[in-house]
Amino acid sequence: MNAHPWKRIRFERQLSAYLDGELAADETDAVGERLVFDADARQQLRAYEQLDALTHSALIPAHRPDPEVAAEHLLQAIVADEVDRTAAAEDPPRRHLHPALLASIGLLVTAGVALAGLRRRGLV
Amino acid sequence: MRNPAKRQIQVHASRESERIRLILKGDAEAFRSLVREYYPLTFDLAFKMLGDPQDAEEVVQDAFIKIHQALGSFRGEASLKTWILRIVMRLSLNRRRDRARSAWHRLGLNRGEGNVHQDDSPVPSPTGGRNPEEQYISGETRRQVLDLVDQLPDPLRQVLILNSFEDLSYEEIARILDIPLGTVSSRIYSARKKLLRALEQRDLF
Repeated sequence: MNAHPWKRIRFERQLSAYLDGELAADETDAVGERLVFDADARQQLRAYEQLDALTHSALIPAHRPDPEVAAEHLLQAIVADEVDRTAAAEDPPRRHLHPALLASIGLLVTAGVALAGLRRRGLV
Repeated sequence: MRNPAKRQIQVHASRESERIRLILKGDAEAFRSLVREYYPLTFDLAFKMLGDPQDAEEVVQDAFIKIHQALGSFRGEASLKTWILRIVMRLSLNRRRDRARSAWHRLGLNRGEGNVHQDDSPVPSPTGGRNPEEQYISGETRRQVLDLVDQLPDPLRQVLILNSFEDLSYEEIARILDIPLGTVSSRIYSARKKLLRALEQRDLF
């Protein structure tokens, strides 16, 4: 392969894209042509191919859930979610009075009762 | 070559918009068909990102619930597949980060003890060996390969995993990760280079 490190890296990057079928037509032709004559380039390409095959095999899940069953579970979950939301919308949470407001009301009632008692006794 | 897959996406575009319209109208069968079509792909992506089938199942379930809720906001700028995979990728990354933050994980007491992939079952050999022994890469080799993939920096690992899906082009990977096309190409190259070196160091290559 090319001796100049920068050019070598550039070619290896091209080779990587070539393997994925992602080069433009003219670049594909150029790489293809080089592969015919360059044994190092062929070896590098083989290494990438084997690496891909190895990693792809390793990453495959050994078991995959049945999409039909998954679809049913999902539909049930979505329906349950919608039922919950509808119920929440139809039954809005009760409004709770602020504790400070409750305390004020309590004080007013107490004051009113006390005032009425004082008036009854003729003190006010 | 990936071009046929790209053409297929274009052909299915109108079918997808019709299906979206039906789902938004509340058609359960249309949603079922969407799940049936995309479940294998989304499960594989979540599994490859997380290495745990249980986590992958939960992430995919969350993803489809979000997809169902957000389908009305899908504008069709990217393909439906790209949009779905973006959601799965985002949720998988969130799950991975949450897991990394958990005390169990920090103490090295997570279920996988370093390697997130739990399943040590042998899988078909990439070279398709001639006898049954050659047809499977051993559980130990698989564990080591996954360990090395897991140790790659996040940006490299993400492109490597997405590139392992035959029908995803660099352009689609760029859209899913929201990065420039040239970055996809250079990251895939860097990931291959790093992984190759690491495998050679462990005498696995």
